[in-house]
Amino acid sequence: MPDDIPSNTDVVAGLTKGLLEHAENKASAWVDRFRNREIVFIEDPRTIERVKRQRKGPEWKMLSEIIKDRKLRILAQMGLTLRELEDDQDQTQALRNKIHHRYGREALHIAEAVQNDIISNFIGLESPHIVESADLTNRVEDLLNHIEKYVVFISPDEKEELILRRVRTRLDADVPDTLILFGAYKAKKLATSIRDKIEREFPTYTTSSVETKIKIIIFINKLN
Amino acid sequence: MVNRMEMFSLKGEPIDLKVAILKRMGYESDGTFIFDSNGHKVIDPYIDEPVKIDNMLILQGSEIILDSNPLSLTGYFEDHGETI
Repeated sequence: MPDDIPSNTDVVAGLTKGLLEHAENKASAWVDRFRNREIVFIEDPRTIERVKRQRKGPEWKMLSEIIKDRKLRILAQMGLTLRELEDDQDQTQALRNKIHHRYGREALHIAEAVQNDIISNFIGLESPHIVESADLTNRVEDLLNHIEKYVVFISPDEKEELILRRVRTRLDADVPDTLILFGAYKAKKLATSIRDKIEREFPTYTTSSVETKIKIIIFINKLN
Repeated sequence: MVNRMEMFSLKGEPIDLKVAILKRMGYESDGTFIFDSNGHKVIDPYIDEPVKIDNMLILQGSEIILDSNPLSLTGYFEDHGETI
């Protein structure tokens, strides 16, 4: 091969060097803009747009006025995100895993309570009886911080008698003064059946329900 | 008044460019994870997991690098406000 014709290896090396230099120059310009606070870097801007859109929504506006605790605020927003992602199983599961990994199982139940409208309905029922906004904050944050005590998430695979026993035990112990049952899809029928039995067995409690085609939220409150 | 920053999408950009951006900011990458100047893996504090180069988000506020997901972003907005 004549000396003035470069080998394939030289061509590839030259190209690679050129591409790297191009990437470095481009990166340098972008980083300068970043440092001038003109841009941020993100893999997919839709993630930011979704979070921002949700924070502007009416439900978060209402919840953010009431929920003051940082962790609960984050989990409440995750509940709204889970609701929005309900049709995308992969994204829903990925987010559930992240919540569980970072904050644990109970935190996931907090997010689920928001996702399934339990908290917004609870606020709707409680707020007419509360004068001071700080009292509503305490009431809602107490519910969220003790989600397992206040809310019974009914799984379709559970035996009705076992759930009934759990509910009876809590009502007999008189703690708390509000108990919420939640059932979706197949568990909705189960929740309704439990409500009917509780109504017969506990005359000192009253129930009210919020129902859609696929889910039911049952509030069991002690009569004053 | 808050000046909103433009979002530069890294989606579809070559890995060389992502690595070059990180290098320029004082980080390294093995093509999967990101390492700080002490050689430690960059951990997203909002999810407690290492950040991967193919899903990173670099935000203002001492140049914080996060995983691009709703939990991390929400945590960041709660702590720093919506500056983007």
